Amino acid sequence: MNYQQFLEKLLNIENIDYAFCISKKDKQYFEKYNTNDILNNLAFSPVNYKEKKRIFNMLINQEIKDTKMLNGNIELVFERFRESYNIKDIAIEKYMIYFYEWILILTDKNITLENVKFLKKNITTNNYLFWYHLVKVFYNNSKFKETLYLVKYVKKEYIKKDNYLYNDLVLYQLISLKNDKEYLKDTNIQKKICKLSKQLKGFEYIQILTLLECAFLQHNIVDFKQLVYRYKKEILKWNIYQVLNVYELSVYLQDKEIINEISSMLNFKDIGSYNGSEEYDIYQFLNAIVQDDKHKIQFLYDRLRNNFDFSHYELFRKITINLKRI
Amino acid sequence: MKTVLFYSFKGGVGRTQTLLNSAKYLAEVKNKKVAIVDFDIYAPGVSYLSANQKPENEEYFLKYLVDLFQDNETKKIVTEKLSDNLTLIPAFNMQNIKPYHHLLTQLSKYLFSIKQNAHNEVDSLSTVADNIFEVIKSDIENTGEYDYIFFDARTGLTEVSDILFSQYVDLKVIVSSYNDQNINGTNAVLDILPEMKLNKHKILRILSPKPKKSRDEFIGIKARANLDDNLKLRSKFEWLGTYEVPYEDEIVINDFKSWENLQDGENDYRDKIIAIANTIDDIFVDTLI
Repeated sequence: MNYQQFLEKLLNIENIDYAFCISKKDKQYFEKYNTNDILNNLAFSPVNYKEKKRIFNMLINQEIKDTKMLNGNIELVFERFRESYNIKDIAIEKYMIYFYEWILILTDKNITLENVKFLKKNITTNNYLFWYHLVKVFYNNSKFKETLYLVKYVKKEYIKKDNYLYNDLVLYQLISLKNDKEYLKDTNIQKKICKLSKQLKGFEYIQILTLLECAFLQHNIVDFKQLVYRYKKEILKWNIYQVLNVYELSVYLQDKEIINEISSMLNFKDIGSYNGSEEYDIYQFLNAIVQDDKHKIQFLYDRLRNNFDFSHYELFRKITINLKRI
Repeated sequence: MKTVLFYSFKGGVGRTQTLLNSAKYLAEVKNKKVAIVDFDIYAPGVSYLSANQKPENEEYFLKYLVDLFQDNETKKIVTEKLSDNLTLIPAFNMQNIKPYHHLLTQLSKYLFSIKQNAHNEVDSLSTVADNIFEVIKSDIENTGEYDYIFFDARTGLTEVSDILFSQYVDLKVIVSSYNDQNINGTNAVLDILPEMKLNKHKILRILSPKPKKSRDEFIGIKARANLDDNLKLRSKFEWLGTYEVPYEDEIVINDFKSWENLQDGENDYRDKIIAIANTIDDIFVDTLI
């Protein structure tokens, strides 16, 4: 079985070559080696990264003389993979890791949005599992910009709201948007995030925390309070770090009632027993803000510098400094 | 030789069944030599597969553990061939429950100390649990030649799981079922695992058994089991993905025979187990062209 038969059977992909994710100009660099057939077979083979890169380097350095034998061996690998994974969704999920790793090899581990644009242009298949797992493999590798680009396309073309995988795409989109702290400054991205969090099903913590964050960013104390009271039962089930994330937002909102409410939840979860841990430092840092203890704030800020995301705190400081100026 | 832990936070989720059938596939189809160790010492299951019961004073795995922790000289651990390539290391001779119970009582004297010290460092790279595991592994290796040692662990957060979550266990297969208490409990276990200094834990997650009908409460459950919503936690591990194993009428708990009646390519359960077994094998075999 060669790469064409393999890709057609597994992913309904035809007419693809190894350079699907790079420009024509970049492709010319590899073409001078005149090894297209073997490169295509190697590119799409379910072979681990290290091995594939090693053979790729040998090919472009023209160190392999017997490419016929190599081709034969690769074809056996295609067959073995088909035999080992004869359930389509598992096979595709597993295969997409190899697929992604080829993009890594071709781009020398420097994947950009441009590569994804070439990929989208050069690949034609209606196999929605291919597109879903493609999004997922980019998301799993923390390529958030590329994930967002792909999700938008996949939601439009292949996976609509009635598809059971749609909800996962909403999750990947939401987390990818939140990864870039740009949303703290950009109200349009905030709106998108808030809309997505309302659509999301089955990810209680992410959903409730994002809804609370939306109320916080709009400085809507009434909404924030309502959400806390509505989801009190759920919040109490979260781990201490997750409850501290809610406490953080309530502290920056500077509303005594809600600070006391979340504080009592933390006591219920025995925050005192965490004394000496990072979680307790975060708790003390937030308490220092409530008490406006500048010395303690600075001390704990320095101590937590490498382990805590201060982006909400920076936003809070900016707002309070501006308010003081007014 | 590679070591694989099969762990579940709660019982009755198909952990042992997944272990047995993937071991059987690797042994019979891929010609791998697999040892199955019954480390579920408080509720041994696979030990009941043993046909040739030896006297209780033989070095059954449980007695070996007592000897090891008592600093007694240990002997060759009792093993039993289930087939050409499959070897069973039973916890004890389960025909005689009295001496088994007596040994458990003896062992419990040491468990508090193991639990308390498991994560303490013995040097800058390894812990007490790592050292205990290395000794156990080496003594199992002395019983025969194996490609894989599969450990069936007991459920919950116990001294057994402390030992088997050693960084020297090459792969951890974590099984949980389709409900919140299982998923959340297992995620909490992953959350408290210390970050390893030498080797990141390799984790393969299994959801089992997948109900035949999908309901709203299952939306997002695979993604949550796969930690798609918690990339920070997932980055602590070398994450190998999440497989769903479907419900299968013919499979009952710890049944080692019904597997034979299922046909490749016609039975979803069998095909998923084959995929799991091949994934385990692929992790350790570099696909050399």
